[in-house]
Amino acid sequence: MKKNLNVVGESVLRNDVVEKVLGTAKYIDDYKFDGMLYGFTVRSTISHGKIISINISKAKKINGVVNIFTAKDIPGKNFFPMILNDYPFLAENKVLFYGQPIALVVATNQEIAKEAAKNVFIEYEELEPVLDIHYAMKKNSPKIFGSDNILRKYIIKKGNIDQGFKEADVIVEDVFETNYQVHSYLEPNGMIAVPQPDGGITVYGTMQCPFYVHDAIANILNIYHNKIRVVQTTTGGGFGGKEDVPSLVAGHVALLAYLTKKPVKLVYTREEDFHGMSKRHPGYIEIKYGAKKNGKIVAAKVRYILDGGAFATLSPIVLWRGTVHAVGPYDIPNVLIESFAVATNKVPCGAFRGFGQPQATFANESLIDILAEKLKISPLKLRQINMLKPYSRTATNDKISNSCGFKKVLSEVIKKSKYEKILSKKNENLSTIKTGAGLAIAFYGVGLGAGGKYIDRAGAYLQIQKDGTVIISIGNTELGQGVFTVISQIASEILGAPYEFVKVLQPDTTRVPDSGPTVASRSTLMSGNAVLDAAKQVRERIDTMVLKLFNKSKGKVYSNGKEYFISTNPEKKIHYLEVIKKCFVQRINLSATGWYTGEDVSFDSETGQGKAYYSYTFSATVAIVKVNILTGVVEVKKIVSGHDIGKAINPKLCEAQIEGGVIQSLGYALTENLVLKNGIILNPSFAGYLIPTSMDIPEIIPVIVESKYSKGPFGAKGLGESPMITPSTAIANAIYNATGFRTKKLPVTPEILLELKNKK
Amino acid sequence: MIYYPEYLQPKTLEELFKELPKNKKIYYLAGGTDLLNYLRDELVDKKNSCFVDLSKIKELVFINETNKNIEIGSMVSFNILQENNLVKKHFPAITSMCKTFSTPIISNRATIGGNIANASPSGDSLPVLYTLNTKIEIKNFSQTRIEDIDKIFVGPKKTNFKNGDLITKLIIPKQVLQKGFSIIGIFKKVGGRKSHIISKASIAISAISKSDYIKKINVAVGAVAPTVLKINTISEILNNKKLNKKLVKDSVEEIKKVISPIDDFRSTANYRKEVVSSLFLESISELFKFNFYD
Amino acid sequence: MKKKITFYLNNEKVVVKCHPLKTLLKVLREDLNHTEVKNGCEQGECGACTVIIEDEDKKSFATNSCLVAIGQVEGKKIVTIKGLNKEKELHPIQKSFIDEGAVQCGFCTPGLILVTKSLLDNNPNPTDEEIKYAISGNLCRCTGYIKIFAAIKKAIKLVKKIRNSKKI
Repeated sequence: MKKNLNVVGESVLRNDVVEKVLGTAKYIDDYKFDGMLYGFTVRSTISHGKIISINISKAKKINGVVNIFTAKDIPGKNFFPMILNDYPFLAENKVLFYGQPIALVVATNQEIAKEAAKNVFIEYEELEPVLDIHYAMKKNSPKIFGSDNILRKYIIKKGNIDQGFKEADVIVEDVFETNYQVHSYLEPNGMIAVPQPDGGITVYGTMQCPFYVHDAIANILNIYHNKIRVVQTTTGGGFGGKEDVPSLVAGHVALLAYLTKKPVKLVYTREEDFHGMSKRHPGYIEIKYGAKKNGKIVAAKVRYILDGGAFATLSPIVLWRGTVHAVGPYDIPNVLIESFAVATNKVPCGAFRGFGQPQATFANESLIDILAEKLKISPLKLRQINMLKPYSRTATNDKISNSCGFKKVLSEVIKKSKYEKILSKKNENLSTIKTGAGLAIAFYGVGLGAGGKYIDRAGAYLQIQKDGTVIISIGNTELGQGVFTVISQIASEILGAPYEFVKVLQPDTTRVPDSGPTVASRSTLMSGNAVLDAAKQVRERIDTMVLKLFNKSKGKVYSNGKEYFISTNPEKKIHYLEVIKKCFVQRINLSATGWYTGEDVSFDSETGQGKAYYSYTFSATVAIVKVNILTGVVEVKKIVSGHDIGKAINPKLCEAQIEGGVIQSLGYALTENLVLKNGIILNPSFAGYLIPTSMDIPEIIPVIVESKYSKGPFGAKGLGESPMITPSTAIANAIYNATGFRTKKLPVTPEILLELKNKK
Repeated sequence: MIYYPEYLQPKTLEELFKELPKNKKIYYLAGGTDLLNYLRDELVDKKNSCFVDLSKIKELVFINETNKNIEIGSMVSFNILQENNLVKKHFPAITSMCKTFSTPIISNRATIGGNIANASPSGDSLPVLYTLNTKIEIKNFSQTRIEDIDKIFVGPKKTNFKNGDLITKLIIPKQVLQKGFSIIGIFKKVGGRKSHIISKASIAISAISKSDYIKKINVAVGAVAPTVLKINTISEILNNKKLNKKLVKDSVEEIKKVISPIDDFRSTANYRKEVVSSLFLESISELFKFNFYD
Repeated sequence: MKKKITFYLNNEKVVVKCHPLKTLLKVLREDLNHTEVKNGCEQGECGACTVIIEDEDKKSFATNSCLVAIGQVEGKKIVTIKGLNKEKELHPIQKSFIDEGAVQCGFCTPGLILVTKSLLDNNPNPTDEEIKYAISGNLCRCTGYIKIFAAIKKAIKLVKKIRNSKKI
């Protein structure tokens, strides 16, 4: 039996990495332009205050300084467009966080620019900073956003919450907290702007969302969109950290280039990147479950608060995603969720892989284990009783479709990890090393959902060249995740062109229509479908030519990846290149644009009810840990992480996404601990903020389940974020199983564990 | 406007002290793995400083055996130290420490002299050198003096060195072993992840023993006081004794008595206090292959 | 106080005129346009700027170029990732990194490949633990290191095969 796909579903090698192993790939700091100047940002050194004066005279005298600009030099609007439009490019009369940009220095080299930035003197009238979310929400606290410091709030009401808890035999409730997480992409943020002869500007840089950057530049310079070109350079990781804030960097560098009429480079030092760029929101979650004796959860109540930092940026939609998923992947008839994103005088938080879900998952997946213990039902059984399945309803009353391989994901993960065996194994009393197993499960709404539906579209341009090679432009960006490879596979499959012939070009806003951001695990689905659309149009024309060559007027044309044939005569084949040559001679258009918009979604702001997302992925993770109860040090031995993603276009890339996400989640659980004092980050470096090294890596078994989504390209849903959601909580649950210490804070530091031990 | 400090690159010690400026603060550039960070972070008064690069001075790179001592040149890097057979034979605690020192790409360059001169209470080599009663040879112009390692530190990142003082070598006494006795040693630390960390707390133990009989033992702790501490009272408790749980417990009490850890972004005083005792128990248990935990 | 400093970069003699305390990383990137050496933290913490240094007695080791003053490399040989494939052919380590899917964003890749080369030059048969330790100064945020371990193991085999075939 011949398989019906040639390249989709195969682990073909990535087609964008030869230049990376050779060292020839160019990241933003690797570019130079003639006469290029260098920028540096002058930042606030206090957390909250009024700007009394900005003294640039000493800095300006420094040899090599070209100029210094402040908010008053901005020709356009002083904010970058993002939901509430509250984040100014440069502070005007007040600063709201330590590290907020106030002025920009431009000089002949970076050292001079940096030196000059230190010599810009700002006089402040310091104001009381609001550093704590609970204080921020009190009546008597200083107000830094609106009249209540609340950046956004949501409510989800399903069924009757009071009735639900009345019916419950057992009620559990608790409070959970999570800390910041820093993206720690290896390439810091940076941009170069190059003025164009027509008065326009081209901006190059490391980014996830060229179209956000496009909007930002139009805003700050007050020029038309068709004078702006944004090109994404090879990007050294993003993870959400290059979603919104590159708009700030781009705005700054565009302003400098526009005002000096010279190319300008602005690349952050690691320390600046720590202080100035976005983070994962710290979360505070009060959660309560009510269940029947048989384990059926009948009521769930959540109060979820995110610490948004000084400006809203993406907080409203990070909060939205977290809210929609806050009671966990369970079918619960009575739900009440109230959520708030709160303004504080700290670094603004934004997108980070998982987008508001890892925090909420830590709460609900910890509480499920607590409930299981109280009910004397195994944590696995309790999840099986309540978890979402086809046609069950989420908290927003959204009906789960039959693209739901949740059950299979869970059973595979349980089997491969030997979870039940380790869970029930008693640790020897004398041993100081305790072993334990932990489980966590989640669902994840793919794409922007009802919270971002108006920008949930994607375009693509595809062209077969004379020699048969294919070029494709998409609006989503390659960040290392492998989207160019996946797109090439989809195009190759549909066109019948050999995979090696396909090349995806570097994203450029002049090549494709605004395709929204590269976030929310949406690229395979959205750009994949847009390319599918374009490729199908071209393939239709190719098929017509093939039939002509076979002297047929109609019939179905097949491809084996390099040759075409028809069912009535499968032995006779015509090579792809031959057909392309014929098409060129016959003046057939071998190019097309593709377009895709997400399925319709809705959300009622009063009740929070509606179809929040068009499709969901499902995941389960088991962690096996060893805890040294003398030192509180946790070693993760093994992680099995399973994900129903619809279809793995490239299984090896999917494994890589799972492995990478698992380790980020492991860092979130154990080692990554940002420390702030008075709103100032005390450990703004890789020496102080510790991401996992090669020594911290457990055995990882990735599990992929394919329960196809009818609208996805070849059934694919999405994967990027799912692996980041459950592992941290699986680790926390495993630590409890090993030691009996229930940790209600992430990260679980040895300090916390020994504290818990001493309390016992 | 953008300054670099003055820079010298002498080829011999003689040349070094001939050229050394008297009106500038002297920084010796050894491996550079700490000092170049201080320079980058502007912790150095560039205008009034002179960096003396030691990388060409071959006479500072050696590991020699004399009658009574092993002598280690200050410019010996940690990876060389780790592989050295004399060190392995005489000072197992040093080898143990080298295995967890920073990262391999740093230990290729970081030097033992640099780690001492940096004077960090969490410097990994220091507790080990304390347990070995290391002496430090220091030269400054025509003068040479020898000091006990535990006498040179006066606070976090502070030594009693005068401007221009250069650590030239470490002198570590060899132990005379009676029949049946052997030298054992260990270094342990705990940090925010498994490796590539600055210690939250550390411990070194060097001993001469025969099975569970201790002839002589030295214990030193790091990152739990303004300087590394050698805990002589533990030596008093354990020297010439057969090890037992009671003695180990008494030793732990001695650690708790002398340390004065602090809260910082890496850890808490409470944790440091507790974990350094845990590290002692783990180390003793590992060295003597017996469980002394409870 | 600029000085003339001579060293060998990927087997070619280079002379730069700069302050001897400028870091090797900055000299490579800014003065010599060798941007394949990446700047990830400038603090010796991430390993993205790793190069191989061979000193006068032919001992070679990988190290962070951000923590080396250019004065310290006078007369020494420096190898960057571009020194690995003079014959336009991928080095077996480079090939293994591609084949095993060990490259994602690629920013850590040049450093990791060089640290692997240095490991295999000094120890052709490393154990799993030795591999883990050897790359522990090189951070990767994308892969979770699993595919990097696989790539290094594959490279060990490939390198051995080539060495054996050269012996015959």
